Amino acid sequence: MNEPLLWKMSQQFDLVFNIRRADFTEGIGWLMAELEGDEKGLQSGIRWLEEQGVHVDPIEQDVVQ
Amino acid sequence: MAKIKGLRCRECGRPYPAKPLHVCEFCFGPLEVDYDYASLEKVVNRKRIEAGPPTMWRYRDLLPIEQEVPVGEHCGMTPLIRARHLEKALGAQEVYIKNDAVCHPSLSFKDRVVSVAVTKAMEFGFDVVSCASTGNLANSVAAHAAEAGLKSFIFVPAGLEQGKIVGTLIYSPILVEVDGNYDEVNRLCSEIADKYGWAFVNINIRPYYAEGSKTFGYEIAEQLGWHAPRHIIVPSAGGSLVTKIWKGLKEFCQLGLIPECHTRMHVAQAAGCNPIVAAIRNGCDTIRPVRPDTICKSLAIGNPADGYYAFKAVEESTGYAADASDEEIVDGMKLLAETEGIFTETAGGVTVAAAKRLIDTGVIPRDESIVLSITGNGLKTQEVVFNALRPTVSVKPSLKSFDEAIAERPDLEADFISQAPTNIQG
Repeated sequence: MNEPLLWKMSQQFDLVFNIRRADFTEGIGWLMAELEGDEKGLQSGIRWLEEQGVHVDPIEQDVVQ
Repeated sequence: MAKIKGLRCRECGRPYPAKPLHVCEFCFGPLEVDYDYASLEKVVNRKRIEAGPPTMWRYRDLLPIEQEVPVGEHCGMTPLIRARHLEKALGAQEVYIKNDAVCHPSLSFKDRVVSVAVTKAMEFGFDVVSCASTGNLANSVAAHAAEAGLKSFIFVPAGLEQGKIVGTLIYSPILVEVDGNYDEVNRLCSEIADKYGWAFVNINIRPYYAEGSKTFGYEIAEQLGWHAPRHIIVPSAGGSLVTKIWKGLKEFCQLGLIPECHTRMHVAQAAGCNPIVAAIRNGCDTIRPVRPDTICKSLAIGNPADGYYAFKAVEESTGYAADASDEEIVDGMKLLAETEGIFTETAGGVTVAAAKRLIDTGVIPRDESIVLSITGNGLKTQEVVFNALRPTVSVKPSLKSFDEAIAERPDLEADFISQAPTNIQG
């Protein structure tokens, strides 16, 4: 929450992000963003975000029903 | 009559054509069917609905399909029963069971959404339907695809109950068991949906599919004599059902089919997977994902796609929420079976347990009407209750053997033998 994680990811893995929607309150928040970059960078960037404790899902969210 | 205008983003309101789309490309919000209510108001009335078939298709004016004969033509209009024995057990005065454990053809409420989705998929010209499922949806998609003559690809997490696997395979779909947790299945299916041109009922057909759930609420209101009940308790996984029942009741009110919509919607989840319940308890509409750990696999969705909208339905209707431990789920299944003769799956056990909690804690007043949503059949999840049932009595074919066996079972003596009538003549 206190760190610019998206910016760091963008710099480290050469990704462009575009935030479409977001909502943050104290302690928890979410955002929907489009990520652009090469496949390897995208995979590495998402893995890095998860290592920072961010839960990452594709835009469909849960499809198992 | 052109009853739908197209699709519309639930967040930013942008209109889209009625095509197999599900996400707003501008804000990533979910798309929803946009009805022409002004036109519907002129034609939809109680008489027209009552003259329709004894299935959910009596509400076809309020469903987004055009095809004359839908796939799943006999789905819905399941029993709404007054549960007088369960009322006593729960200490409430007016309890009803809406019993989709007997929904046609695959014995769960998923038949409602799938019949709409597969019908729509045919209208769009797809020849393969698909889904990712915890079991009930798999059964239903495979069954409806067979009826429609379509091919089906079904994805499930490994380790599902045998009843749900057999209840899918019998229709000969391609069943893919994914060796991974729910998050991994989700991600895989999102990628597959992107790559292959299939009708994924709960991804690219989702806006149409979800509308089928409204019929659960329509039927409750019609079966109560065109009145909405005071409370409906709904088991929740992805959060869509509670959202759509609420939408259905509001539509009925808007169209003048019921006088008022004063129903309080309550969410029921397993304690081992309760992200929506937790959000409601905390009064925070951000859903915090959890890792499911519950015997109730049909509700084991840790990051519910419609969790936010389920929260809003509960908030708007001034409802609440309750969760149930694994033990309470089994007790709930047994209580419903023992009091009303209805064998529900684990999700139904969650609903019964939640009802007990909400009544005992005073959230639901004992003198108000309550509908329990029973959404699936117990024959599909026999494993979870088998060890909690009364053991069988094994005897040889002789009266002596029977007498001896009974004498060894004090539980039977107390429950049955001492209450037997004594004046029976041979």
